[in-house]
Amino acid sequence: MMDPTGGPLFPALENLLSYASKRQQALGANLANIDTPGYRSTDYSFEQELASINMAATSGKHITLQDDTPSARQYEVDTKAKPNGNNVDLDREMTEISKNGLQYVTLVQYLNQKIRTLRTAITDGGKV
Amino acid sequence: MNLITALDVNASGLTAQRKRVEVSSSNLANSQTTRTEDGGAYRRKDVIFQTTSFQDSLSSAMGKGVEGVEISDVVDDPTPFVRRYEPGHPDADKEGYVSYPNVDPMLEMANLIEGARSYEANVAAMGIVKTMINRTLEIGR
Repeated sequence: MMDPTGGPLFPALENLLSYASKRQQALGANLANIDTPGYRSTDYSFEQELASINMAATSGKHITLQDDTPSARQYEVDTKAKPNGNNVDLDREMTEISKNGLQYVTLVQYLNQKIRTLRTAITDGGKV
Repeated sequence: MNLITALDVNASGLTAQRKRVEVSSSNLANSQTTRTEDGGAYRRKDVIFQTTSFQDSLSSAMGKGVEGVEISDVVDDPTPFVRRYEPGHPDADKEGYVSYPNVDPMLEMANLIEGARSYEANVAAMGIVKTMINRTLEIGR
Protein backbone atom coordinates (compact mmCIF):
# COMPACT_ATOMS: atom_id res chain seq x y z
CA MET A 1 0.00 0.00 0.00
CA MET A 2 1.22 3.45 -0.79
CA ASP A 3 2.04 5.67 2.15
CA PRO A 4 0.12 8.90 1.59
CA THR A 5 2.94 10.98 3.09
CA GLY A 6 5.47 9.44 0.73
CA GLY A 7 7.29 7.61 3.51
CA PRO A 8 10.85 8.76 4.07
CA LEU A 9 10.89 10.49 0.68
CA PHE A 10 9.68 13.93 1.76
CA PRO A 11 12.02 14.23 4.75
CA ALA A 12 14.86 13.05 2.51
CA LEU A 13 14.09 15.68 -0.12
CA GLU A 14 13.72 18.30 2.57
CA ASN A 15 17.15 17.39 3.94
CA LEU A 16 18.70 17.54 0.50
CA LEU A 17 17.16 20.96 -0.17
CA SER A 18 18.49 22.29 3.11
CA TYR A 19 21.87 20.78 2.27
CA ALA A 20 21.88 22.52 -1.12
CA SER A 21 20.94 25.90 0.34
CA LYS A 22 23.57 25.57 3.06
CA ARG A 23 26.12 24.70 0.43
CA GLN A 24 25.10 27.70 -1.65
CA GLN A 25 25.79 29.83 1.40
CA ALA A 26 29.31 28.45 1.80
CA LEU A 27 30.07 28.81 -1.93
CA GLY A 28 28.72 32.37 -1.93
CA ALA A 29 30.96 33.20 1.03
CA ASN A 30 33.96 31.86 -0.91
CA LEU A 31 33.09 34.13 -3.79
CA ALA A 32 32.62 37.16 -1.54
CA ASN A 33 36.05 36.51 -0.02
CA ILE A 34 37.86 36.02 -3.30
CA ASP A 35 40.27 38.87 -2.47
CA THR A 36 40.54 38.42 1.30
CA PRO A 37 44.13 37.58 2.27
CA GLY A 38 44.49 34.26 4.08
CA TYR A 39 40.89 33.13 3.42
CA ARG A 40 40.49 29.37 2.86
CA SER A 41 37.74 28.16 0.56
CA THR A 42 35.20 25.91 2.29
CA ASP A 43 32.58 23.50 0.97
CA TYR A 44 30.25 20.71 2.10
CA SER A 45 30.80 17.17 0.89
CA PHE A 46 27.86 15.23 -0.46
CA GLU A 47 29.49 11.88 0.34
CA GLN A 48 29.55 12.74 4.02
CA GLU A 49 26.01 14.01 3.72
CA LEU A 50 24.94 10.71 2.22
CA ALA A 51 26.78 8.79 4.92
CA SER A 52 24.59 10.50 7.51
CA ILE A 53 21.60 8.69 6.01
CA ASN A 54 21.36 5.46 7.95
CA MET A 55 21.20 2.67 5.38
CA ALA A 56 20.93 -0.13 7.95
CA ALA A 57 17.15 -0.11 8.31
CA THR A 58 14.87 -2.99 9.28
CA SER A 59 15.03 -4.32 5.75
CA GLY A 60 17.81 -3.95 3.22
CA LYS A 61 15.34 -2.22 0.91
CA HIS A 62 14.53 0.52 3.40
CA ILE A 63 16.16 3.90 3.55
CA THR A 64 15.55 5.75 6.78
CA LEU A 65 16.88 9.08 7.86
CA GLN A 66 18.67 9.84 11.04
CA ASP A 67 17.02 12.40 13.24
CA ASP A 68 19.92 14.80 13.39
CA THR A 69 20.03 17.51 10.78
CA PRO A 70 23.14 17.62 8.61
CA SER A 71 25.75 19.67 10.39
CA ALA A 72 29.46 20.31 10.64
CA ARG A 73 30.42 18.52 7.45
CA GLN A 74 32.31 21.49 6.16
CA TYR A 75 35.77 20.91 4.76
CA GLU A 76 38.51 23.13 3.36
CA VAL A 77 38.88 22.97 -0.41
CA ASP A 78 42.30 21.76 -1.50
CA THR A 79 43.12 24.28 -4.21
CA LYS A 80 46.47 25.98 -4.58
CA ALA A 81 46.82 29.14 -2.50
CA LYS A 82 47.77 32.45 -4.04
CA PRO A 83 50.77 34.35 -2.58
CA ASN A 84 48.43 36.13 -0.14
CA GLY A 85 47.30 32.80 1.36
CA ASN A 86 43.87 32.90 -0.30
CA ASN A 87 42.92 29.72 -2.17
CA VAL A 88 39.56 30.68 -3.74
CA ASP A 89 39.48 29.49 -7.36
CA LEU A 90 36.92 31.59 -9.27
CA ASP A 91 36.28 28.96 -11.97
CA ARG A 92 35.76 26.20 -9.43
CA GLU A 93 33.39 28.29 -7.32
CA MET A 94 31.31 29.43 -10.30
CA THR A 95 31.04 25.85 -11.59
CA GLU A 96 30.01 24.52 -8.18
CA ILE A 97 27.50 27.35 -7.68
CA SER A 98 25.89 26.58 -11.07
CA LYS A 99 25.82 22.86 -10.38
CA ASN A 100 24.39 23.33 -6.89
CA GLY A 101 21.70 25.69 -8.20
CA LEU A 102 20.71 23.20 -10.89
CA GLN A 103 20.60 20.36 -8.37
CA TYR A 104 18.36 22.43 -6.13
CA VAL A 105 15.96 23.21 -8.99
CA THR A 106 15.94 19.52 -9.97
CA LEU A 107 15.05 18.50 -6.42
CA VAL A 108 12.21 21.03 -6.29
CA GLN A 109 10.92 19.73 -9.64
CA TYR A 110 10.98 16.16 -8.32
CA LEU A 111 9.27 17.16 -5.10
CA ASN A 112 6.55 18.98 -7.06
CA GLN A 113 6.01 15.90 -9.22
CA LYS A 114 5.52 13.77 -6.10
CA ILE A 115 3.04 16.30 -4.68
CA ARG A 116 1.12 16.35 -8.00
CA THR A 117 0.92 12.56 -7.92
CA LEU A 118 -0.49 12.67 -4.40
CA ARG A 119 -2.99 15.34 -5.40
CA THR A 120 -4.14 13.29 -8.36
CA ALA A 121 -4.69 10.33 -6.03
CA ILE A 122 -6.67 12.52 -3.63
CA THR A 123 -8.86 14.37 -6.13
CA ASP A 124 -9.28 11.86 -8.95
CA GLY A 125 -9.39 8.70 -6.83
CA GLY A 126 -13.17 8.74 -6.46
CA LYS A 127 -13.88 9.21 -10.14
CA VAL A 128 -14.88 6.19 -12.16
CA MET B 1 16.75 31.51 6.14
CA ASN B 2 19.74 29.93 4.46
CA LEU B 3 19.23 31.30 0.98
CA ILE B 4 18.56 34.85 2.14
CA THR B 5 21.84 34.71 4.06
CA ALA B 6 23.53 33.51 0.87
CA LEU B 7 22.21 36.67 -0.82
CA ASP B 8 23.51 38.82 2.04
CA VAL B 9 26.95 37.24 1.83
CA ASN B 10 27.19 37.93 -1.88
CA ALA B 11 25.91 41.46 -1.26
CA SER B 12 28.79 42.01 1.16
CA GLY B 13 31.10 40.97 -1.70
CA LEU B 14 29.45 43.52 -3.99
CA THR B 15 29.89 46.32 -1.44
CA ALA B 16 33.54 45.46 -0.83
CA GLN B 17 34.41 45.23 -4.52
CA ARG B 18 32.61 48.47 -5.31
CA LYS B 19 34.53 50.25 -2.58
CA ARG B 20 37.77 48.83 -3.91
CA VAL B 21 36.98 50.10 -7.42
CA GLU B 22 36.08 53.51 -5.95
CA VAL B 23 39.43 53.75 -4.18
CA SER B 24 41.27 52.64 -7.31
CA SER B 25 39.42 55.27 -9.40
CA SER B 26 40.33 57.92 -6.86
CA ASN B 27 43.99 56.87 -7.14
CA LEU B 28 43.83 57.17 -10.93
CA ALA B 29 42.09 60.55 -10.79
CA ASN B 30 44.77 61.87 -8.43
CA SER B 31 47.76 60.41 -10.24
CA GLN B 32 49.17 63.91 -10.87
CA THR B 33 47.95 65.67 -7.69
CA THR B 34 50.82 67.49 -5.98
CA ARG B 35 48.74 69.37 -3.42
CA THR B 36 46.57 67.72 -0.75
CA GLU B 37 44.94 68.87 2.49
CA ASP B 38 47.65 67.10 4.49
CA GLY B 39 50.29 68.88 2.43
CA GLY B 40 52.55 67.23 -0.10
CA ALA B 41 51.57 64.99 -2.99
CA TYR B 42 48.66 62.53 -3.02
CA ARG B 43 49.49 59.18 -1.49
CA ARG B 44 48.08 56.07 -3.17
CA LYS B 45 45.34 54.36 -1.12
CA ASP B 46 44.84 50.64 -0.77
CA VAL B 47 41.93 48.65 0.70
CA ILE B 48 42.12 45.82 3.24
CA PHE B 49 39.66 42.96 2.76
CA GLN B 50 38.54 41.19 5.93
CA THR B 51 36.06 38.42 6.67
CA THR B 52 32.94 39.17 8.70
CA SER B 53 30.83 36.44 10.24
CA PHE B 54 27.17 36.15 9.39
CA GLN B 55 25.97 34.49 12.57
CA ASP B 56 22.40 33.31 12.68
CA SER B 57 20.93 30.61 14.90
CA LEU B 58 21.50 27.96 12.24
CA SER B 59 25.09 28.72 11.41
CA SER B 60 26.13 28.98 15.05
CA ALA B 61 24.77 25.46 15.54
CA MET B 62 26.84 24.30 12.56
CA GLY B 63 30.07 25.40 14.18
CA LYS B 64 31.85 27.60 11.72
CA GLY B 65 29.52 30.35 10.55
CA VAL B 66 29.27 31.76 7.06
CA GLU B 67 31.85 34.40 6.36
CA GLY B 68 31.06 37.53 4.39
CA VAL B 69 33.57 40.19 3.52
CA GLU B 70 34.11 43.86 4.32
CA ILE B 71 36.69 46.55 3.71
CA SER B 72 38.12 46.88 7.20
CA ASP B 73 40.46 49.75 6.39
CA VAL B 74 41.73 52.03 3.65
CA VAL B 75 45.47 52.48 4.12
CA ASP B 76 48.17 54.66 2.55
CA ASP B 77 50.69 53.04 0.25
CA PRO B 78 54.10 53.73 1.87
CA THR B 79 56.13 53.48 -1.34
CA PRO B 80 58.13 56.67 -2.08
CA PHE B 81 56.77 59.45 -4.30
CA VAL B 82 57.97 59.78 -7.88
CA ARG B 83 60.41 62.71 -8.09
CA ARG B 84 60.66 64.62 -11.33
CA TYR B 85 62.97 67.50 -12.18
CA GLU B 86 60.70 70.45 -12.96
CA PRO B 87 62.32 73.65 -11.62
CA GLY B 88 59.51 75.82 -13.03
CA HIS B 89 56.80 74.01 -11.07
CA PRO B 90 55.39 75.97 -8.09
CA ASP B 91 55.63 72.85 -5.89
CA ALA B 92 59.28 72.16 -6.74
CA ASP B 93 61.71 71.85 -3.80
CA LYS B 94 65.03 73.70 -3.49
CA GLU B 95 66.80 71.35 -5.90
CA GLY B 96 63.99 71.78 -8.44
CA TYR B 97 62.38 68.37 -7.95
CA VAL B 98 58.62 67.89 -7.74
CA SER B 99 57.16 64.94 -5.79
CA TYR B 100 54.41 63.26 -7.79
CA PRO B 101 52.00 60.67 -6.32
CA ASN B 102 53.16 57.05 -6.04
CA VAL B 103 50.29 55.96 -8.31
CA ASP B 104 51.08 53.39 -11.00
CA PRO B 105 48.31 53.60 -13.66
CA MET B 106 49.08 50.06 -14.82
CA LEU B 107 48.52 48.68 -11.32
CA GLU B 108 45.29 50.64 -10.89
CA MET B 109 43.92 49.39 -14.22
CA ALA B 110 44.67 45.78 -13.20
CA ASN B 111 42.99 46.47 -9.86
CA LEU B 112 39.91 47.93 -11.57
CA ILE B 113 39.54 44.96 -13.91
CA GLU B 114 39.98 42.48 -11.06
CA GLY B 115 37.39 44.34 -8.99
CA ALA B 116 34.90 44.40 -11.86
CA ARG B 117 35.34 40.65 -12.48
CA SER B 118 34.85 39.77 -8.81
CA TYR B 119 31.77 42.03 -8.73
CA GLU B 120 30.33 40.23 -11.77
CA ALA B 121 30.98 36.83 -10.17
CA ASN B 122 28.99 37.87 -7.09
CA VAL B 123 26.15 39.19 -9.25
CA ALA B 124 26.04 35.87 -11.16
CA ALA B 125 25.91 33.90 -7.90
CA MET B 126 23.09 36.12 -6.64
CA GLY B 127 21.15 35.40 -9.84
CA ILE B 128 21.39 31.67 -9.16
CA VAL B 129 20.31 32.10 -5.53
CA LYS B 130 17.32 34.16 -6.66
CA THR B 131 16.28 31.34 -9.02
CA MET B 132 16.55 28.89 -6.13
CA ILE B 133 14.36 31.07 -3.91
CA ASN B 134 11.76 31.51 -6.66
CA ARG B 135 11.59 27.75 -7.22
CA THR B 136 11.21 27.19 -3.49
CA LEU B 137 8.16 29.45 -3.52
CA GLU B 138 6.66 27.24 -6.23
CA ILE B 139 6.79 24.05 -4.15
CA GLY B 140 3.34 22.49 -3.99
CA ARG B 141 1.73 24.82 -6.52
